[in-house]
Amino acid sequence: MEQKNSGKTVDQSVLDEAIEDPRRLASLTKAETFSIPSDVADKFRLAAIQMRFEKLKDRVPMLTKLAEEEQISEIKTIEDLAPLLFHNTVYKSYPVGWLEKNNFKRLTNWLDKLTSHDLSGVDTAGCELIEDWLELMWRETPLQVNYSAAKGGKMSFNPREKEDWQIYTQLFMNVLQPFSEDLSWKPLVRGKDKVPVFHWGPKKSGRPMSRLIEVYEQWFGEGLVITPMEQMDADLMSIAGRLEAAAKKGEKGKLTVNPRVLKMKEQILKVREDMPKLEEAMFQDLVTNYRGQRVIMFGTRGHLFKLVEGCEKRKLKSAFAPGSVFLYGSFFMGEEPENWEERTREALGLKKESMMEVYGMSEVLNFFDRCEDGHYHLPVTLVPYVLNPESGDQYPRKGVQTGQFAFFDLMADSYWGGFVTGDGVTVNWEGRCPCGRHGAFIEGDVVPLSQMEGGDDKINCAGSTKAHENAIEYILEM
Amino acid sequence: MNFDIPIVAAGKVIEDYSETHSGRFGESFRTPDPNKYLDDLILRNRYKGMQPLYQLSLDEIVEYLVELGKRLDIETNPYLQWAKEIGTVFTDQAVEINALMYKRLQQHFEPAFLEDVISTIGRESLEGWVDYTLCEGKRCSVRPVGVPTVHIIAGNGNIVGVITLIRNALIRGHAIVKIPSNELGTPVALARTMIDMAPDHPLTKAFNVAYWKGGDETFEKRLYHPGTIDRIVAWGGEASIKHIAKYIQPGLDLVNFDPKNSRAIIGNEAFSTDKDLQEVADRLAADVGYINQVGCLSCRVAYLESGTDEEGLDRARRFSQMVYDGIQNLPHILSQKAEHFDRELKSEIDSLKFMEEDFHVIGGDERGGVILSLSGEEVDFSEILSGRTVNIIPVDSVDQALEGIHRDVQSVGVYPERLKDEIAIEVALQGAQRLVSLGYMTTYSTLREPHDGVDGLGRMATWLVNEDCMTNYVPVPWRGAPSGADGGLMEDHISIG
Repeated sequence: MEQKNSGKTVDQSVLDEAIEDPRRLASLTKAETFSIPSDVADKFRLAAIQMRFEKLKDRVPMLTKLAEEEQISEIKTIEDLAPLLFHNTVYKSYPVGWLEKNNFKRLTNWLDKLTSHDLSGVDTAGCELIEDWLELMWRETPLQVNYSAAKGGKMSFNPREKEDWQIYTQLFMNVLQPFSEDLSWKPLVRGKDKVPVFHWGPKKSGRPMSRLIEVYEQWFGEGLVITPMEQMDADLMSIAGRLEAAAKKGEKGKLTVNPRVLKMKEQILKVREDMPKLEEAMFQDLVTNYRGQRVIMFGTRGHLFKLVEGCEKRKLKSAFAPGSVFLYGSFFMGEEPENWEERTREALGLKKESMMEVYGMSEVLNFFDRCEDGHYHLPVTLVPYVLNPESGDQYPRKGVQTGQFAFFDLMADSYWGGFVTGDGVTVNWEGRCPCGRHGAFIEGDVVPLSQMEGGDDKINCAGSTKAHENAIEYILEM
Repeated sequence: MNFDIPIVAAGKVIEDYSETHSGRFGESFRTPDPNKYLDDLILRNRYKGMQPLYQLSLDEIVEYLVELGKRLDIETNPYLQWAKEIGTVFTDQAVEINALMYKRLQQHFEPAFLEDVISTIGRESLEGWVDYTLCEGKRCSVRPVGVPTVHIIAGNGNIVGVITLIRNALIRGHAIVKIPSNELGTPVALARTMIDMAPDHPLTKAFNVAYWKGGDETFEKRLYHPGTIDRIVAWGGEASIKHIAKYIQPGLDLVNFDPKNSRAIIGNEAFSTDKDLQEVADRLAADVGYINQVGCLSCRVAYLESGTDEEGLDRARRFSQMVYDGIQNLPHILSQKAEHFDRELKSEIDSLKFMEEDFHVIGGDERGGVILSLSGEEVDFSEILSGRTVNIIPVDSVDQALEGIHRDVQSVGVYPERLKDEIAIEVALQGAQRLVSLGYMTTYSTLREPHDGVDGLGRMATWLVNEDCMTNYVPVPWRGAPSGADGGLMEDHISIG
């Protein structure tokens, strides 16, 4: 099938200059990014990962030790890097008991092993809560740590620098761009454009989207991002994981909850009661006060459907101005309404390419959007790998390969960008997507690895009951 | 290699393979469509279907089982050989250990063994009625009655199918066994052997096996219905429960053998002499390594009363090395390198290796491993420890060890014996169900001892009571009030509990 062509190109000199600083490529447009042929991209990638390895191998202690164990002292091919990719457990490998005992000194020592910055001088004496610790990191180090809730509720912490969030936000702006020529799309200009962003998540938190929101408002104006929830608290989020750990230790009833967290009870109760109303109010605000305007919306597909239904109920058509975008995450639970794409177009006024399904995770400083042919395209700054989920061996970088997705993120500057995800993918290395984007891409859906591995009704009597309790319920009962 | 798994229903083998399923390690297998054969698996008429079972004496049941046992020799039984071959593809267990477990199947069908199982309820109960009289004179006769039951069995050992078969036979129940994807062969092999031996026997027809994918709503909605079955016996945790939880309703009883993990508590007497220390290390190695740690009874966490100061941690390091060495030296027939070492576990362990101030890791791969928690923190992933990997936690006192015992802990291996007896009640109050001498954790016999704290055989049955109120004349209102009654008559006919 003939591949379309965006007509854009990237000069070789741009790539050569970016080897020492791949972040320069954050300024490429989407069309430029995906105009780079696979062989050219791989040449750049090899040079850049060699640079990253040289720069960080003696500065990130966990990488140093891993390279020692694997006896790797240089990278000659892209494949050579695979044994050095950090598994997804690394960023949550600290014992949960440290949080229980407010042992932030140990937590800092642990984080110190994952970054090239020296955290040995940080005095954690005043920290009682995770929020205290995050703020201390922000105040006294170059780090603005982000977190996410991993499987089982245990939080993972990523040692991001403050500068990383500037790059992240730039890449977010890039993903909003259409790939093809779209005359209705105008890039946002700082200091001039005031395009509101609606996000169905907390405004303030340690999650990547909240960091992005913060930078967005720095660039375009305070108050431009509308969310239903002002803040999500790290300590509250961590309670779920700590409950599970405590249960394993027979101490569920003795889980120590800091009195400052307990004081949030009232706030928690209020948020719970108000959340449906707050979300509804946000929808109302969006369709009433922003109708006809250009808006950016970032939520789940469920939020998108709700918005469409809301507009249909009000008999609204083309509710938002050209140049509006709705981004939603990949994993969707639930049934898709009939004709939802057509209904969305009609109700919201969004073109198909303005409804973007994106794949991403807190471990990568980038977003991957799904093209009109249903594939996720991987930019030149991301070095993909497909691994055998059982053995960890990498599959050949040719043809079409299905397995566990891993990558090296060249945007990572002060931490190691190599990461093995918990996702199953099929990667097409031939890179001839009909949409016109060059380079290897993920075909079709990204699924949890467990779904790909089959035998999901294997039954064992060894294990634990995994009685998850809602953290909020637990605290409210105290 | 034939990966076709039939349905066995009402003494017939159904080999209409129309469905393909993915198993572990990239392999797939075929089965008939269970929806087509549900009516063969269930009893359309309970009385007609089960009444022949109640014409069997207990001795006849035992005779059947003993005869069956003679045919379960792995050397000569083609169905077991087939099951063993399939096991090499789909199970987590090492090939040679799996082979040993097949060799041991027959012992469960020996008369002495079966009598032990019977004695958990009592021969009298399984023979027929057991009489007793209440204080007001009412005479009660009680007997256990088997019921139509779905058994969602665990697959981390071929013995679970055997346990289910024996219990179902003794209790005279009607079993529909859901085959797990990690042990596809043994239930079928047992059922086919029964058919070869006695195709029309009521006990043969009462043992039915099928594979269906958990969450197949079309099938499960019809199967998990009070009109079809009385009881579900579910082994394992989320994997089995998540698909059946929505069907539990009045009329449908759930017996759940929760997932468990087991631990050891080692008192400071272990450090009395070098010889004692070596013996304790060897015993712990056995509890961790035997049958490659696949059972819920296998030790995954061990509390060591070594002390937590520098001297104590040094002692713990030395002990940990001895345990690791002991694991490597276990008899090959009982314990080997893991064929598939859990990658998630490996990555968790590898992460700990970089936290040298907090964890001392020995091994941690397919050979097995010891994770010594220098800071006293249990690892957060203890429930996935496998492949002969143990987390040793140094403590200053046994009380600290007891804090780590809870309801998910089934077995607690203890050294020395004196300590085991001293802490027995505390261990139970913390939620665990079994204490055992260190080194013997894998000798648990759930058919002959309380199974995870419950009477496994008794829970299979509905306990029927037949009340005789006439022999001792239990007063009732219509025979007139006694003199001087001031409500005493009304009290007489109301249950006094």
